[in-house]
Amino acid sequence: MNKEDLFSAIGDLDASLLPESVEAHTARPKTFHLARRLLAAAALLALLSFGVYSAVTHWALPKPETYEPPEGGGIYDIHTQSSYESMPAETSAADSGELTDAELIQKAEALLHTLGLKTGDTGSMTVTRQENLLYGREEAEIAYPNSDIHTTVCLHAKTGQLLRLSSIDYMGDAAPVRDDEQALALATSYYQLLPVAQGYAFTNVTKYDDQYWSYEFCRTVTDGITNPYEMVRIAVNPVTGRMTGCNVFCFPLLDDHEPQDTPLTKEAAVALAEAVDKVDLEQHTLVSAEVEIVLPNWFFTEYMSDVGNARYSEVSRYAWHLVYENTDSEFADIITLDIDLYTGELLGGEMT
Amino acid sequence: MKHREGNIIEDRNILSQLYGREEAGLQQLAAQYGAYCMAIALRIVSSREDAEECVNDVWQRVWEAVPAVKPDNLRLYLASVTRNLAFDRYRRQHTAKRGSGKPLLALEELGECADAQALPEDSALRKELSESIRAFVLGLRERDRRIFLYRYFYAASIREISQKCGLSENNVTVILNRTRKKLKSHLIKEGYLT
Repeated sequence: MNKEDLFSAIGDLDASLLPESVEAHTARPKTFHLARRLLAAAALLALLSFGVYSAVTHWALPKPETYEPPEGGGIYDIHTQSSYESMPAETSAADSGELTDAELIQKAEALLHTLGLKTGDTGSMTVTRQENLLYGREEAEIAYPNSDIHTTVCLHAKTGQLLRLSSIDYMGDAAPVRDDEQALALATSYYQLLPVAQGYAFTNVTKYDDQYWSYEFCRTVTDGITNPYEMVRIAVNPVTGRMTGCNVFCFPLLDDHEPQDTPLTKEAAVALAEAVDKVDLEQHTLVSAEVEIVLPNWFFTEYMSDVGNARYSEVSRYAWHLVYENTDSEFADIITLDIDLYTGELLGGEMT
Repeated sequence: MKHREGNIIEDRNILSQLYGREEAGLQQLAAQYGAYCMAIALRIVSSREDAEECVNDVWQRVWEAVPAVKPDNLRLYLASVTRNLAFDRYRRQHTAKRGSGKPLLALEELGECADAQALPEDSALRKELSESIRAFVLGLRERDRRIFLYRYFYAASIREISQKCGLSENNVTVILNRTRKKLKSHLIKEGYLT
């Protein structure tokens, strides 16, 4: 039984058991923009029209689809899970070429020590070895499940490279930060302590709420251009003054064009995109076209009919990122296509 | 804010229109409870756009469900539908793009009372787990039950709960810690965890 099962089971409680809800005032929507208001009205009108049609024809609306994870449990294929009550002596690796559990735990604990993050005092831990199917890499997640502070560290199972870390501790004893400048300095100081590529530039902060501020540091490729796929994301809790998580993305830019190669023009990229026979853009309008660094996923050429097995590339590329939208649809209907800036190859994209 | 009694009368009007398959009931439902459902969805999904889509799904779900379902308390029924649809959406997104967006902290905390292995979909075990959770919640003292449900049903923040319950944030955190420990013991005793 995983945490999602538990959260779902709590959602099954009958309404009679629920308290009268937390008041909505803290999250009450702000004034809608006119366009959004009109869109909402259009959606409601469409829904009501459905209702009338349904009443006339006795035809029922289709049932909303409930999410069901794909076979095999989503993007992870879990191989083994080992529990330890204390730091294990030397253990054998689950697979040749991978670090042993003992080595992985030592790396995780050294990292937590460097960052000043706690793991609780029970001493027990688990090591889960799994394949990340999206990126085709072997990972090891070291978790401290008996701790009041829920801490997990995910490392590359072969190299020990940090991939992500989460440490949720509401009782943190560090000093709270008072302003944006201090919060950025805090995030930067954590970034500099991590065993990851250094010298990345701060590019963005997202303040999800008053206890979760997420800072992004990216490699500067050339003046003014940063690679979002060579990024370290640091989340800090300004109330506790501590780091609560980080993600490390390492998909280096493969810029292998020859000096004499000329980049595609926007018009050429659009023509290539609109000639792709697997993508029907008849109802869609081009709403933006920018040169960006993208992570190929070959969605349209490899996985469109097999989304469950989709994979991402190990390197990022320069591409024209084209966004098409069906503005007549009452629901989001957006297709993005990434066309390699130099070769014109369709690198992938998404359908929303 | 309207008096609760007034709301009950309005709820009855809305429900009677929905039972009669009158679209006006749906319109009134959206006007009366749009912001409320939006607030619940926003605690779980990351963006306003997702929350708006989720709330639209709620109206669709309600339209389908009545009159077969006759909620005693429309407000709480909507809370339940919204919360579960929002969580479906959250899971869908986080399965597709692991590591992006804001983690649902309440869900992460429940990791302390769970292991990594998912229960099979549509299994009897899921139903039994729901029953077991119900028994556990019923066994909690009133104050702890409210705090537990604010956090793990509504995914409210510690700050919101502390304001709602008139307790310090530390106090709320400690109560939640203790309740999670009790939940874990309960789940071990019931055979869901080893």
